[in-house]
Amino acid sequence: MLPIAIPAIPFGMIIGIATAESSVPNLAGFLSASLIFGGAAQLAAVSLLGAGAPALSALSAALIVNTRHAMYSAALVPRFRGQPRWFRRFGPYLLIDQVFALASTNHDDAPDAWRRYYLGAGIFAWVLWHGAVAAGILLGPVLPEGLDLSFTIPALFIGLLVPGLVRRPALLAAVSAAIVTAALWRIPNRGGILVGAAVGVAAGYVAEGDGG
Amino acid sequence: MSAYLVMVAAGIGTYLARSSFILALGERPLSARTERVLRNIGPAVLAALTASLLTSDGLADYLTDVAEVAGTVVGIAVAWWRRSFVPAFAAAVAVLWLLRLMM
Repeated sequence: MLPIAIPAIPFGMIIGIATAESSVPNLAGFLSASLIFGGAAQLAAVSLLGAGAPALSALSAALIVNTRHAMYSAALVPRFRGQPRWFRRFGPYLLIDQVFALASTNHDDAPDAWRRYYLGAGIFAWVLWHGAVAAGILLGPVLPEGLDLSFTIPALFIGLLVPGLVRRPALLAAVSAAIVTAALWRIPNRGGILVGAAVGVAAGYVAEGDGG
Repeated sequence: MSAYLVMVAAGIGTYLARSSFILALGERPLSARTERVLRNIGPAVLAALTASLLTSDGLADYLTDVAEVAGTVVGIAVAWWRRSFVPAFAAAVAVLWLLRLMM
């Protein structure tokens, strides 16, 4: 968990820095970590509110960004089946990108072991995440200019994604999703993510039929 | 609507997205066709998210930013070669910072 959690530190700090440097109250920026617990949506909400966008467009951007979590939910249905009711209700709250990446690639554990693994990863990430956002709010104003911390976020996703691209359908899904999303960058509120991901899933579906 | 209300509403929406299929599908089995769809959702969404973040300021802005493109290519290459997260992340960010310092 630790290697995957390390990039969450700059990510959380970027949200804290963006909060501290905008008109968004520091407490609202910090509470977004508990209420949303999802970096991309938090960053979308904080940066749009800070840029003076209407509350409704900040909200819709955050919601569209996190719609992808419904796909994570679908992908983990087999692992949540047969788990205790409290876990099926509480577990999804922790379902961030990194927890999904860990939980969906760990297919071999028995249900009890998998639940402990999931909770351990999720709670660890939750604590670390709150610390990182708070640190960004406190330290942001004194950081030097020009570090270009925003690139650490796509670099984080590349490190999560690429090592898992072993099967040909998964590789096709990822490449087509990336190309379509980049081509559709003009769609507001990062709506291109949904279109690109849908194209990628369709390409992967066809490739699975070819014997992948 | 205040910033606090935005965070609360976005939090509720996010929880609903994350719990939707887990709570709705419950104990019903998934069809082979559904499994075939679900297998590639992770790679597709992570790739789309990465592409969207890189092109936040436009596709042309990204493609003409030598440091970002080099960081991306090196990150993908190291991730592919080493099949490991930390070296890929470190190489991508190091290349970006190095080129930013030089240019």
